[in-house]
Amino acid sequence: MIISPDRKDFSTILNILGRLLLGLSAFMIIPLIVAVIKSEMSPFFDFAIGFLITASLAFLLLTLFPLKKEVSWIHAFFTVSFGWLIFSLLGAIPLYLSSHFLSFVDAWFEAMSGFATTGLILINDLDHLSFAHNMWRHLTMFIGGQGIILASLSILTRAQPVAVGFYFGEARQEKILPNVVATARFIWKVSFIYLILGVITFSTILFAKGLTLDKSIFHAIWLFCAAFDTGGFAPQAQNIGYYHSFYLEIATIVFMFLGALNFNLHFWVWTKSKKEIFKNFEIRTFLFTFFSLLLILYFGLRGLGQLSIFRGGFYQLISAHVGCGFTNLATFELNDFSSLALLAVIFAMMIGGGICSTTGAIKLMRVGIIFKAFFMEIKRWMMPFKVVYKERIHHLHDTILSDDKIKEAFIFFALFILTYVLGAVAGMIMGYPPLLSLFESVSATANVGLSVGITHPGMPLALKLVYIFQMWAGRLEFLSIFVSLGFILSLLRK
Amino acid sequence: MKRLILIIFLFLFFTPGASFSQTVKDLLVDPYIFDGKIVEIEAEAIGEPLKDKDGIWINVFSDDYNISVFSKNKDLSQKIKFWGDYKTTGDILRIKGRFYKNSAQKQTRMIDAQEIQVIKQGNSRKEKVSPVKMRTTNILLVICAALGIIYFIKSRYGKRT
Repeated sequence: MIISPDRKDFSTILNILGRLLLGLSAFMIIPLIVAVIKSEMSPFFDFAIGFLITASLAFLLLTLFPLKKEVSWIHAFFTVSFGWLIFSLLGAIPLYLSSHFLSFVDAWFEAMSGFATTGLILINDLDHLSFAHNMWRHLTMFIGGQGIILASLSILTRAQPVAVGFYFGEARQEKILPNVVATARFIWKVSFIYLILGVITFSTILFAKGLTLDKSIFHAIWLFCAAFDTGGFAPQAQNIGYYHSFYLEIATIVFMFLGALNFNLHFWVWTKSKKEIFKNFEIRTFLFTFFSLLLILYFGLRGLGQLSIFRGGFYQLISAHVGCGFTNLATFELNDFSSLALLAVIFAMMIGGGICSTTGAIKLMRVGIIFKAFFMEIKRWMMPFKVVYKERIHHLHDTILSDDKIKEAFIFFALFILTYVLGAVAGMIMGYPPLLSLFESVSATANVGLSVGITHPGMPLALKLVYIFQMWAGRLEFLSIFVSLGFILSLLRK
Repeated sequence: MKRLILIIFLFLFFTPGASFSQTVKDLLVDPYIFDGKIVEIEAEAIGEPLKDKDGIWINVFSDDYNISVFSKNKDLSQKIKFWGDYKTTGDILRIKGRFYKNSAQKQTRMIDAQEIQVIKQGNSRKEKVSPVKMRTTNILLVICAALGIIYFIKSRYGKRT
């Protein structure tokens, strides 16, 4: 039996959305303060308008739609899937007002890219963008990386049993602590500790490179948000390549890798056993996939010097694998990669980082399980018929690889592959070459942000909308979107 | 005649050390053509000079495209007064130097500058606040305050009952 939502359910959903929009408007105060500090008057009004529209809408929803039911899983899934769309639309308002975008769709694309921690950009003349707007672009990644809805809930409300629905709805499969709100707060705590470390590290490097102290600190905050939340935005058009700093590249690798680790693993290593990092199934899968792909990349880039392969190839590969999208290459330089090297980067983007991390894509756990299931099946055929054979994986504890886990891994694997391919087909329909179309489609769905030049303000509107959908669906891992659509369909059947 | 022009063009184009005026886009779109050749571009200085062991980096911008320029002359940055950012339009530079698709020394796509001239001085950009934005903000402020008050009154009244 399928539960079909009624009017009371929609009233409850809109009420929760109202509360969350109040949270979003509170976040908009940060760039507003930056605009005041840096005496940027026009951006001040851009954010004042964005803040007031968001807050007005929040008050309107809260006034017109009271909480008519106990908040349940249906409400959580609806709120998550549509909340992300509404957040990105409202988050696009101050960006659009900056006059750095050709259309509102472009600003929406940028906002969705930020919230989904993708990093694909459609902004014009980024080098002349204000501090306030840059703060907002990077803040969207920080909010999105932590999980917008849960982030707002953990700040605004007391622990609620239903928070678990929001938690899973935002594509996090594991709880760290028994209480989901406590889990969200732990994630925030970890993030803030790394934020302090990141800002100190990055600002020291940038100051030594010649940036002024205040600019070093602002750039350090933004680069941290982009690295740890595996977003990939940067305040300059040349991305990481702007700084010409080997040390910065190394530091960004460290922080983007930390962001791609399962938060549960952070918790385990911090509070229980440091040895877990060497035994963990996701880490072992990462080492296997990363070094296999590095080998392919090495062959794909042979002819370049070792140091060039390291700075050009290794950096893009790790950035792709952890879903960050930082690049130290010049515009179109990625297009010079051989097809083999591009394929290695595409595969890395497809896999992504840890479950319960800030990355998108299929995720290491599922890829590892699929590998295990494959070998398990071969072994099973080689054993006597009556033998019951099960593999184990070590992820915090030793667990038996059940059929349910394998089934779940294959379902998500299939959904991601289907979305990658459909996006690539959309690109090809618009006239782009197959390999480049696949690259951009995977980059959007897996929330990576590396680009071979298709993502550009001049690209067809339809493709912009396809990529917006891919970023949204990829970030939420389809589940909450499909459940919401299922409920809408059930309404039509009534 | 056409053949003569073609020969002259090919001669100039493929002679090492020959210099041409290009756009940044030309260099980035067709790096193989210009690799190792002397090129000349005009572009805006962006951000700030960035220190390196044996020189400085100057990032430049022209028609939506950026490229990095390396100069061994560390004092060169003092010639550039305005660096482009939100509040500044940077100096427009004419840069002559050797373009590398992938410099073996610096592991990046760059121009190794031989000469840099400021051909147009930049300026501080005057920030204009649109009156429409100001009016919209005032109207929204009233609407938001009204809705906020209604919500708080309603939520208080709701709590009492």
